[in-house]
Amino acid sequence: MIHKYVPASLVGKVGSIFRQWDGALTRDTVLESSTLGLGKLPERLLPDETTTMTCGYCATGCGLEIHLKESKAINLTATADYPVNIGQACPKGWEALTPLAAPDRATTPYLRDDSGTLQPVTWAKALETFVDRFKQIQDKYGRESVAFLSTGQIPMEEMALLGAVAKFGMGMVHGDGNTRQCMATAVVAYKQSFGFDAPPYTYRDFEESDVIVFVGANPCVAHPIMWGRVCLNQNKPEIIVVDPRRTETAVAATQHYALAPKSDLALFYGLAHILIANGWIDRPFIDRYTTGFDDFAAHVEAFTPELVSERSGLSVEQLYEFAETIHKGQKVSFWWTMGVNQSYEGVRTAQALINLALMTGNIGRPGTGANSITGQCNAMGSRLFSNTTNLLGGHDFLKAADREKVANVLGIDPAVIPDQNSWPYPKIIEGVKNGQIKGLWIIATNPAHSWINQGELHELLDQLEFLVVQDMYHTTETAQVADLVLPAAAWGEKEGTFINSERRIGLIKRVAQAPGVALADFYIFKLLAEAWGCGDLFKAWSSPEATFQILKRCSAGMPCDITGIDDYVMLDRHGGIQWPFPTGSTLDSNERRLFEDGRFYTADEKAKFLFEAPRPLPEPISEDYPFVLLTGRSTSAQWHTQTRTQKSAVLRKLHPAEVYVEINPQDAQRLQIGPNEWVCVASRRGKIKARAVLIPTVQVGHVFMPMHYSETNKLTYPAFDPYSSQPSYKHCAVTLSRGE
Amino acid sequence: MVKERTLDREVSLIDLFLEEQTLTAVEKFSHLHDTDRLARHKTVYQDLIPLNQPLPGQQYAFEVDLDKCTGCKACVTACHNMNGLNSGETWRAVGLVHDKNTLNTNLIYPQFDLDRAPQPYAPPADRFSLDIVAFQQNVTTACHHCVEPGCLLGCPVQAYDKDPLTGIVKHLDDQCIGCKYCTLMCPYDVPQYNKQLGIVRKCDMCSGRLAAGEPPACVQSCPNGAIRITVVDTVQVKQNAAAYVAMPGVADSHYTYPTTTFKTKRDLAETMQPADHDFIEPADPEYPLLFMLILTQLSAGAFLLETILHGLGIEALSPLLTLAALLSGLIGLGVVQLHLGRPLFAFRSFLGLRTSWLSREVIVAGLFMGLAALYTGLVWLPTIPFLSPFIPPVGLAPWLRSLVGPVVVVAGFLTVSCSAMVYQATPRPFWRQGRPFVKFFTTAFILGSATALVIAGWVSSPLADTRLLSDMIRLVSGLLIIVTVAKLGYEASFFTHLNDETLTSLKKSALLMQRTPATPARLISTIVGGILLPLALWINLSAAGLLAVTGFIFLLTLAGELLERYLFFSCAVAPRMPGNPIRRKL
Repeated sequence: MIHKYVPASLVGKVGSIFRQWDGALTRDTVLESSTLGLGKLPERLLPDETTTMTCGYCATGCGLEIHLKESKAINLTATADYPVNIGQACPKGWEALTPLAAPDRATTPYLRDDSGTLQPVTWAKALETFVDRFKQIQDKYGRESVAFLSTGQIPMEEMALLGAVAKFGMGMVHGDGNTRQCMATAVVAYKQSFGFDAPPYTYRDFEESDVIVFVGANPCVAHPIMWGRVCLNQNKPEIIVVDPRRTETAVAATQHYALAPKSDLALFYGLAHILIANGWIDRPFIDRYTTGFDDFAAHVEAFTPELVSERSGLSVEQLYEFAETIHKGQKVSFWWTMGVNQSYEGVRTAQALINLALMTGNIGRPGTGANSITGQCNAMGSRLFSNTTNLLGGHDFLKAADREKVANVLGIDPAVIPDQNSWPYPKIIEGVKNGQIKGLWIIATNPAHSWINQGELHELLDQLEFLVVQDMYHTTETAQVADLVLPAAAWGEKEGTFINSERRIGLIKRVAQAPGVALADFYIFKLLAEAWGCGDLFKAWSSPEATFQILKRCSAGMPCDITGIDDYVMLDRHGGIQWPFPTGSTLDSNERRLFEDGRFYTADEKAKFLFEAPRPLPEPISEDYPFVLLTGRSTSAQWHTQTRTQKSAVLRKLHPAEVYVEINPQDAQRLQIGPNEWVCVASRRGKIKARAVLIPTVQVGHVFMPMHYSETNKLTYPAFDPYSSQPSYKHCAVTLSRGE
Repeated sequence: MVKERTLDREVSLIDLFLEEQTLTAVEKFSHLHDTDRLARHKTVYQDLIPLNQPLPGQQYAFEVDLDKCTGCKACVTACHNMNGLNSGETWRAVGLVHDKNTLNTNLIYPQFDLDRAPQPYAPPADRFSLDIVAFQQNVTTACHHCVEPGCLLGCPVQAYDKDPLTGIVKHLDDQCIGCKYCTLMCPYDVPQYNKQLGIVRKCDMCSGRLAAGEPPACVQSCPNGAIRITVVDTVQVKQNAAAYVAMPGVADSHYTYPTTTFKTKRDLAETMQPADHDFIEPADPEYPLLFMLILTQLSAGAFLLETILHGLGIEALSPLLTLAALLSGLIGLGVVQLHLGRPLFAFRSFLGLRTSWLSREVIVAGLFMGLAALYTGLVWLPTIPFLSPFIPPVGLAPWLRSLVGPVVVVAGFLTVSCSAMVYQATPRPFWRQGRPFVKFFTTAFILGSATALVIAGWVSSPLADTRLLSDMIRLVSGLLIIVTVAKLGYEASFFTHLNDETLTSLKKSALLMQRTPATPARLISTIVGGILLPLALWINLSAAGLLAVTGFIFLLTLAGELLERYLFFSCAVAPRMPGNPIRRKL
């Protein structure tokens, strides 16, 4: 009726005062079509263009599609056609841009003044101080007295320049990376067994196996996109998880072996024993492609099912079931992460897995392999190009020919290349302790949080005469105790390449501007080289991409030869390229695995069976410390020491704010500990309080604490693998009590 | 000299490098990607959305394959990013359920006898049995797009729309006034209040994307393909309600008829508990609502007392008592505006009248205050001498007053009833079983009486008929004592839930009440203000003494009732989907 007398638009307007279907608030989340093949997005977030880059968190190396508006990153999605992740990402990846905008970014250099507070200074002052102080220390205590600790989080062009500037330009001898904490064990295991640090797999293997064995790995939480690839497996695979905890992955698996902590080496020898005893081995493969099998067979003779059952807590029947599953599988793949690597006998444990793959012929074919899953986004890059453990390109500092070759590529005097190996991380820390290291330069890592037996490290950092921390935040636990803080650009604010866990070289790009006068680590190293007076040595290293070309040449003739990759554009076009890719290669498949020809990188081209008797636990439980403390990742939303993930409000919502300890309800009952109560967890090294989480997924007698909270490493016991020097984070003895 | 030259070079390099960093690298990588990338991605998710639109009697629903949900929470962040939500805002959540904390009975506690314990530590072989190692299950959850959505039915401004074609329960952001009542009505903690915008927002199943044949953000982003969209029959949902959102510790599906199904090969409900089952945390005390309730109830009670006294022929208190009652009510309604995110649009509150108790409360309270103002005017008119000539037929005022008085009282108690229904209608067990009615009505009586007493104390000395007044004081204080004792007894009886064998929602409320200092404070102030001091009124007091005692009665009962209401809000435990072991406070 009313329409007869008043215009419809007015009716609509008046009506909408009462019932409003549209408006600014509504349009905030209404989805509009994007023309870039991204699906619908809110109008204000429609990008002008997109570009793909590799994620900067873990070694999965997902492709992230960065949405750009006026050339600035405004949002991202997971790249639909990237061969790693096929349109998927974990929470960290989805939130990868958020930490860039954090208010506590280091926007200027900081220098500790006489009163002990960090004060902003100019770059010129920072550079001058760096050079003066480190040179003074070197003059007084010798060149070796200044060392650096690097990271698996920066592109390989940057870590190569760092290693080159520090060792060839500044005369440092000792430098190592935080990668020592995550994959040094796998490196050594592969080097010894295969002759080169060569994880043989491609992620496609997750989809092709019919038996997948995860050891000390919880991919559902730690590598969710890899688990996503497992979910694409059409073979209805048997999925075996070896883990003392009933983890998310253990729940999703078809078989879970909840072994006694650190009984893994005995377990795998026991499995080898059963496989050999039943003739479930691939004798032709062993004879043709391996050495040392007979000695190995003799070694595992003693590991009878009964003995192994006693050690591992698994029943004899379970051991047989496990061995038989391996035997029945046509394509068996073995995957491990930190449960193996972070062990006082990790190298031999990793090799025990390699041995299982070798003796059953499960290597070099689709869906097989003894496969170490790596941690950090560029840990694999650091393994080849950080110039710490290896000379650039997987070369050997001790070999004159290698030094000569690299010097030639770089156009420098071979004499500036040290003819000795760097100390590993724990040795550097020990050097600080006994006064051999007086100056330390820490780049993009946070040892004051992450190092094992953290309490001692804090004292040692205080003993240094000069500590430089180069980081994107001035608030990390380590930056807080530095004498000089150098502000670094972050992932997304600079260029370079990462190598992911399946050896894929992926590109990162500049899609945001670094805040203040923060500079890419690459440029910081260039400036420091200039200030030090050795800039001329690195003239050819003019940009990240020029450096990539240098590194290519360093790799020539090595197993990791990448001379066939033209440039960054080629990497971008193909969604990353796996090594090896020597000159003349064609990219028939972008998902390639190693050893398809059965030729390994040892002198005789045969893989080696390596083994050793299991050793006693460094710190067994006792009457005073009756619980085993297990540590590990707790959620996909947290990364390492949380310096970045903590900056995202969404990620913060996805995990507990405070440190907690998982306790079996029976133990809790015994100790009268209620849910969510504060409990005191103490080891011989420290005492902390944590919230009690009562959950039956940890066994009676065990407790679990996530590594992401700085308290955890006040408790851990500093034991190390003798071959890899990797810290054994996963097992120490603690006691629990109620109250704070 | 050399050093200076190097420094110059460095400085210019610093500028050069900083300059170089301002260019983004994008220009360098010409756009290499074809635009139909989603087509390739489609192979991953095409099976996860239905081919056809729902037919009449059907609607879209989420289906979660729990056996595939491994707790990575990518869905939460993808939903956040692809919908452009504010910092920290999430429309999807992932919780955890795990075996009840009574398992592993045949695991032997580690042997600590060092002589017997083998080195290295090796537990007895029979310690472990895989069959009994506990199970945990992550649960991804968003809006259940219920058949009878609590949010929609509770909304006072019709800011919810259940799409007739798709069944998607959509929130109309521009319609919302930010009253947050939907957050109390939803049994699954779905609508989220956005402080920054002053409105509630929630999942709309990415309706825009679905309409275009694209999967919702969560469906597209699950690495394991655990979430899909299905079409369900609404009659089926209602007939077989228990099969939907079948999850340990979750509200009865008959309340709103949620449509999400959680598929799993395991029987979750029988053996498991939510990981936050043991977590007890006080809720928001909702101060504006708390004050509004107390003040409007005081108002209703005071008008009741005034009407009774008027009937008994006591007129001395009426002007002040009605004025106090009116002001209290008005302040109450004013204070509640502080609760709203967008108070400018509060005028829309009548729209939900058909289904929303909040709408009814607003309308009835408005009516109550209108009548209360009229009545107060009628009481006051005769007392203002210069106005008397203007009162048309002499004698109409008292007549009108006798007529309006009871109507005001009825309106007042209708308001109190609607307020009680606002809470009674929610799925919080602490607010059901008539508890809001008992509490709100007794509050009205206690505070009405206390107000009458303090006014009596104030006016008693200069007035003549103190005899009548003191009788009235004794009567009212006597009733006050009786009601107070009854109320405290009623509240104390709630603590019997402390003996509940399992940790029920009501037991959690009782535990919360037991733990907070507000409980003893409530008890003491009410015993003193509602029992002991009223007893003192039965002895003869000086005028000053009377004023002091009644004054304290008023203040202490007011404090006591405010504390009662604080407990009412803060100790109510909201039903929700399974959470995480340690919940995060935001």
